[in-house]
Amino acid sequence: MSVTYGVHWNSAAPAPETSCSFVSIPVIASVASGVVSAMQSMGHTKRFVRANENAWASDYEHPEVASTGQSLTEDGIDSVALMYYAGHGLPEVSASLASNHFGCRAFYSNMRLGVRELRWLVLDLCGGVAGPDVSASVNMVWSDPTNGDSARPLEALHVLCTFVDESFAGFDTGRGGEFATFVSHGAPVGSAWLDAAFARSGAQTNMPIAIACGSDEAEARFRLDNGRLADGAAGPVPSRSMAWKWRS
Amino acid sequence: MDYNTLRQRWDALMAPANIYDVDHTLEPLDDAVELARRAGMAIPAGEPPWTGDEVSMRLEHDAHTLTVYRPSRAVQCVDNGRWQVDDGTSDMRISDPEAFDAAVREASRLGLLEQDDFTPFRVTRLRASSCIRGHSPREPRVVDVGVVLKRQLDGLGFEGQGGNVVMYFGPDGSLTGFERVARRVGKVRAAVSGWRSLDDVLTETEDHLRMRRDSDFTVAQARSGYLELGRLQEQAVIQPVYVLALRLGGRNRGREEPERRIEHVVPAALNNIGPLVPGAEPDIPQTPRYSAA
Repeated sequence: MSVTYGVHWNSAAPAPETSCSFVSIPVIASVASGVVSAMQSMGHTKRFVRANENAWASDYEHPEVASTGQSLTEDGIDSVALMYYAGHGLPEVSASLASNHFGCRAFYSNMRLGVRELRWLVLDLCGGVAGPDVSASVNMVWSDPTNGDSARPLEALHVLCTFVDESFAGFDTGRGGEFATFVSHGAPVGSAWLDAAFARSGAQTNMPIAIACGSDEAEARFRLDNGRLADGAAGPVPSRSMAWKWRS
Repeated sequence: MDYNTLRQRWDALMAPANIYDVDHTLEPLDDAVELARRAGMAIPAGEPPWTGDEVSMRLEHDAHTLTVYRPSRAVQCVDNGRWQVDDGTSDMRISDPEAFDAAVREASRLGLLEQDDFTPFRVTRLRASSCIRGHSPREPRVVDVGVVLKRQLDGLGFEGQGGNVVMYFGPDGSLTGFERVARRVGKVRAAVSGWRSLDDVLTETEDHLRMRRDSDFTVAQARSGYLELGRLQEQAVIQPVYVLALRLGGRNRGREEPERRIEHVVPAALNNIGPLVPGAEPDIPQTPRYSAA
């Protein structure tokens, strides 16, 4: 099952004169490299692969919510079925990019995910969800981005994958390639993320989380456990409910 | 941890160790079929219907999938209907000691531990919840427990995504999946001739990260062990490493940004075989933007 994909990563220092002040972590590029390599070898269709100053905050934001948003354009994340971002995040607030195109922060509250082509989004960053009350955080942060837009109210992407609290970069750079490989082999997307991204060693423990949308809780739960790349052709899914699971 | 404290602890990280070849010559597939049968897959006699590609070989039967990853010879077996799956009602109550006991018992029954030494390392829990838009989320439930058993060699533990057995249990306490990422250790290529000094390791770390200690990062912890990489990575030798748990940002981090912590690994032996980690900036061609808006 071939899908379109996009990859962004942020391994550089913040752009000057932005509100971001994260530390550059060059090894993040290796995570993205694994995704690109696996998606390519599995026969998927590349739409864009961009890093640092070429990956923009406006690519994530929806024009109905942020006037500068271009998520629906050819460069936007809603032009691909599977989007993988590896980089920094401000907990519960934004993905943080090393560029300055209407700022460095892609605010979650300005996203409306999956109203066009996007079916699965991986935010491999810190604080896509924050603990200790993980469920309250999911509800607070991801309700609006899965709310749909005027053309597709209450419709959204199938599954969002990210981390609770910190995402530990380091010598385990294989998770991106593993995730891309597993979903290409037919593994459920949420399950593949939980499998690829949980740390098997070290004192620092990644807490991967997958969040799915559905018309009701049972459907969201079913999609979380069973939703695969092959299901993407069905288009956006109802988002009246969400289900999530995380490993800690 | 300041330099003097780290310096005082550094010598304790050294231990007699070797650099081993990874034995790539063993063909695991026959063993894997027997393993699958022990795990409950009723694979009929005869040539099993393997499918695969350059990354893995897969055997699917009765909702189970057994995967052998070619780069590592790692084996994973899961019950697709139950592994990491939420039945919507179950909430597992199992203590860590109970989970470790179950993991060791099941891993031994399946023969996953082979001749290697594994010790209980970590119990993980998969929690699930849901909500209707506009309503409060339901109380999280534990729907799966994953137990990591870590390999030991020469008295040293293993670091990395490999060097482990992971056993997964579902709500009824039965096994839903397992994996063994433990490359077969071959002959000794060389005894470790000596361990690298703290200053040498810190200098290499600074060069790799292009950061300066104290101003850009601090060392929170240092460990030593054998490094084993994950399922999809090639690895020719098993050798000792230092693992530095680093806190990035130092004095230069903005107040708003969360602290980033990373673990950096460097070869420990004076006669090490490097490099261990990918280059800092892989050369990935980028796509020009479709619009310059």
